[in-house]
Amino acid sequence: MDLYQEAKQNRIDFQSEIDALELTEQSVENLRIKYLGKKGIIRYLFQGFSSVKPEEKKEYGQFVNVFKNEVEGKIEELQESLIKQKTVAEVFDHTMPGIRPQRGSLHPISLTMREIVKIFQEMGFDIEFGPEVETDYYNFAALNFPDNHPARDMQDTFFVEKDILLRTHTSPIQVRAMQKYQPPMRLITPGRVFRNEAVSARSHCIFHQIEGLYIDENVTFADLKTTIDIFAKRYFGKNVKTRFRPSFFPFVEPGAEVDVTCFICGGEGCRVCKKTGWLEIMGCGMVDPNVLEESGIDSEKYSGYAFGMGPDRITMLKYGIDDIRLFFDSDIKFLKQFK
Amino acid sequence: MIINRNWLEKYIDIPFSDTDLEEHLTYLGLETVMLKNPVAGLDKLIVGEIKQVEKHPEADKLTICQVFDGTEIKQIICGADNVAVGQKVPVALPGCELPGGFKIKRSKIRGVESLGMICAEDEIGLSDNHEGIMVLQENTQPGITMENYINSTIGASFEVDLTPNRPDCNSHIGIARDVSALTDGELRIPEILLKESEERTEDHISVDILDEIGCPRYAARLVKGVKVGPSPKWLADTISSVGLRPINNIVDLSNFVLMETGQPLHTFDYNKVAGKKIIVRKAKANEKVTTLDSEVRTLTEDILLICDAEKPVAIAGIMGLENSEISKETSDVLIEGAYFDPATIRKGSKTLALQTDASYRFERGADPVNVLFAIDRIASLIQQVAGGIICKNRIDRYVREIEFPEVTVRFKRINKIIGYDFDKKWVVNKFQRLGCEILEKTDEEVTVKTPSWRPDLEREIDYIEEVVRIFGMEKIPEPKSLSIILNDEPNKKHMFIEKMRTDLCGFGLNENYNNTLVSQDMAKFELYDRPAIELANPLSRELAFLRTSLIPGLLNTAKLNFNRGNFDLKLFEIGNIQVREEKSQTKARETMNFAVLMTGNTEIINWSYRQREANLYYLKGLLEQIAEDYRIGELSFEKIENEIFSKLVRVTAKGQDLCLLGELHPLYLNKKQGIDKNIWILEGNVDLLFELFDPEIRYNSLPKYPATQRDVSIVVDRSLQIGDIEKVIREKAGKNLADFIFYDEYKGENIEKSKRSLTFNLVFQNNERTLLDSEIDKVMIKIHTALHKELNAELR
Ligand SMILES: [Zn+2]
Repeated sequence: MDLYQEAKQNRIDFQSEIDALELTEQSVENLRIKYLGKKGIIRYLFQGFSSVKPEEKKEYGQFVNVFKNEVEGKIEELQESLIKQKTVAEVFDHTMPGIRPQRGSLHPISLTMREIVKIFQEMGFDIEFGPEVETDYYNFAALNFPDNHPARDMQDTFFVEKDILLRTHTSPIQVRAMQKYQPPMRLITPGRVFRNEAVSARSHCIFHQIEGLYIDENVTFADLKTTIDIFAKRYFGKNVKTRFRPSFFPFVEPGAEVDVTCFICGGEGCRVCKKTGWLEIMGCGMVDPNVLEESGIDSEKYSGYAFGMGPDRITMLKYGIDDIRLFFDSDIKFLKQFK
Repeated sequence: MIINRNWLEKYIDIPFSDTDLEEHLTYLGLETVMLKNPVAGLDKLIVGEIKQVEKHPEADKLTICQVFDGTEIKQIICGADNVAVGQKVPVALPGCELPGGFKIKRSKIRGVESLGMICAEDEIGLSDNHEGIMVLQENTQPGITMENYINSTIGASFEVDLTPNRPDCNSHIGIARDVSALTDGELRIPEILLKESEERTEDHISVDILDEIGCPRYAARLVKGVKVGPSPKWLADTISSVGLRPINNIVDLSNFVLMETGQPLHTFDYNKVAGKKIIVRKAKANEKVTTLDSEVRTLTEDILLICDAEKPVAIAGIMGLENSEISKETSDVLIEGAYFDPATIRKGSKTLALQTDASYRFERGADPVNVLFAIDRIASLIQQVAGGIICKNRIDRYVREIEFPEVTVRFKRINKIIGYDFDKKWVVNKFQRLGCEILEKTDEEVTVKTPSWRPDLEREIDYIEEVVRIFGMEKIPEPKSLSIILNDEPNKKHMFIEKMRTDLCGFGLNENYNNTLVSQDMAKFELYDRPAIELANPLSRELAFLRTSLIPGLLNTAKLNFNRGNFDLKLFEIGNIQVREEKSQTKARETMNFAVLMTGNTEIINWSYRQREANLYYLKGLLEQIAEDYRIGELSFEKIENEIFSKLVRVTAKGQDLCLLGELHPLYLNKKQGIDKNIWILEGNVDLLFELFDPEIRYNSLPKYPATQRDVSIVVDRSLQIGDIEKVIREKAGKNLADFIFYDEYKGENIEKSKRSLTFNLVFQNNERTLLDSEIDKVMIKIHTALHKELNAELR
């Protein structure tokens, strides 16, 4: 049998092998090696080209090429059906739960403080810290609270001993800053504060404050209003309105309290705002000249404003938390919700 | 303080509705809330007019009344004997429930139908009065509710929450003055009609002030021959409208003048004052007195006393004593009007833990001038209401004159502070309305004298506040742009702490906050036994110390969660601890710490993998990761002993103590904490970590030449530590060792009991060339030899 004859027979054999093939990775691979391998039939047929009769060479050449393409095409086809068969066969339950990455959570008050701090940072305020155990001087005297004055009753104080106490507000940080830096200064003071008040759903002996201070030439009450209004809109939503009511804090004059329209009812009146449509969120005012002078700042040349708010209360309002003790009980089911 | 609208209108016209008044006062800085009518259910009662009265045929004491209720005539049986045709009366119709809970029904009384009830004051909760039915004002419209009637006759009442700087507003006149500044309405100060007798006060009483600091002024009047008894209706109604209970005409009048003028007055039964003498002096230590509330009180030398020739008769400015109290038998009333030093009264009130309406006002600063007005006012009212004669002249001992400042206010300065251009005339007018005397006025400034009732107005800035307060803070326009200060160096510590919080969250930990205030037991935490700071005035023993470690708080949190069925916890806290340090100004050394607690499984339960319980190496890994990410350099770990930990490691960095980590001893957890779970804890110092933290990220170019990996498997004594093996391997591997990974440990079958099998993966790499297999082979032989020789390791 000459080679051309042999080739024709090979092609017939290939076809019957394909027809009889049981589709497995192994059988397809065997077939590939048999026909397309280094020592395979196709290669053998090409190698024998010189032994073919000269008049048949052209025809033979064409025949082997066609055969080769046919084998390649068929084997590729078989390999594809193998992959398809495999993916179809795989059991896949799309209703099984996913495997989740593990993530922790920030304390809700950390979350609130972060949001508040960010807004003021974008307005050019920097952050200052200070000690929680303070002297009477920084907590009261330097802030224009006279000795034996009823203003001190506004803040029930924990004492360590005479003239040493747990800070009742973060304002002592402001005093320390005023004594450390020269104006202009613009800073906020996040931190924990202490009041000697019985622990209940509504009040705790520890809570947090963020106070702000801005001292420069020509700082006005009008500037304060703008700053607070922008803060309120950015934190509570752009439709929120603010209102300023005169109030009294020894370290500011004039002093004011700020209400925002209740963001729960939109000012219509609800249980949270006690039907008033307003929520009290902070105290503020122009820094009292006595406070500036006490810290060595010329109160004729410089003026400033200060404000302070309680992130605990704001967090409670924002999420509808009705018991402040939840913040310090640390039930993991509570903590995990603030992500 | 409670005020009443009708009472307020005696002194000022109020061109506002009740709700607007509430809002205007609030915007003046006098935080005001309108009070609901004190008696609930008055809206269910209506006013009826009695059209006809006839005797009940079957009962002598009953009458049959025909009552017009605004729409129709109803028949009601009444038992009171003061009932008469034409009266306007409160009527409860069937279906209505009285404040006492009694429900009115249609009924038959001795055979006659009754469609409701005509009420007495006590039956509808307005007073204790049961002397017949309540008769309303003649011009009342039948058919309106009783709530409407009460509001229109007595007026709405308001609770005013005053700030401590405004003692003047503790009175109706004071609030009226603020309203007049707002509206420019005329303030009406009541005129006093005094009919003095020929008898002279100074013949009956003399005053000696031994403490001129505590008592700068003491004035007195004497009214003789009064008749103490119930107050007339107008007086009882007026003081009831601000929540005070009528007692007798003298006491009620002193309350009336208090609420009218803000001046606390005291009245003595003159005949109980011995020796015709009043002496003002400090108490002696341990002097005992019985105050009006029948309490026996022990005094200190801080407390100011009013005495007669023999004994104390009042604690000055705070409360009178029983021994000189006005009673039914009193006929001569001695009236005291004084100005006491605010600090003295405050100290006394604190010492005695006794705050009264009087002390509240004196410690905030009463009016030293209008004392005279107040005693004349009450004397004239006593004469009007209780009869008697007013002795001629008043005693007035003004031993230390109180000065009122003269303050110059620059118009430019007002504008500079507030940021608004105020009209000068407007400003001056408002100062006058507030009662300031204008001493001088130019185009630049105005000089005023502070009125005696405004101790808060001392400086220019105080007047600037008055300007914005009266003008309305709301009306100050807000600028559309602000200058900002640009920071070239933001607070790095804050950034660091926030980064730590974020990173610890990223590690899957939940942040929690624990109380700074802890019990003595928690403060003396055995791991450190640091000296703790104790509070002088704690809320309770449980909250009497400052925490010296974050761990006890975390253990409490774990306990709370265990009790609630939460057993898998990965918690962290970043917070301050305080340790007592004598040489510090605050006796405290304050450190910011971080702590991590792990217990239970580290992963949430899932179908795909098995949960693993936490262990010491999770905490160690966490710390190693932080050390790497924060570029703090080598950490060194040292095993230490502590009785409350079964395993404990001290971690140092650059020779400083960075943190401790360990497993709490099961005996400690069990016995001391009542916990039967394993707990791992880490606590370290944030301040130090921040110091060591290197914020600069340094980029290394990617390696150009391939790495080669080799495994080392050895069997060694169990007592041999990985650290020792690593040391040997690193030493022999030299500078081409790019990574050293310990990745398998095996103990058990096929290995001697005292041994363990360990596998390490070594990565070799050089930045300048490809390493040859033959070089690495040589190094590996050196390593193997050394491990065998130095550590007696058996190669596998
Ligand atoms: Zn609301």
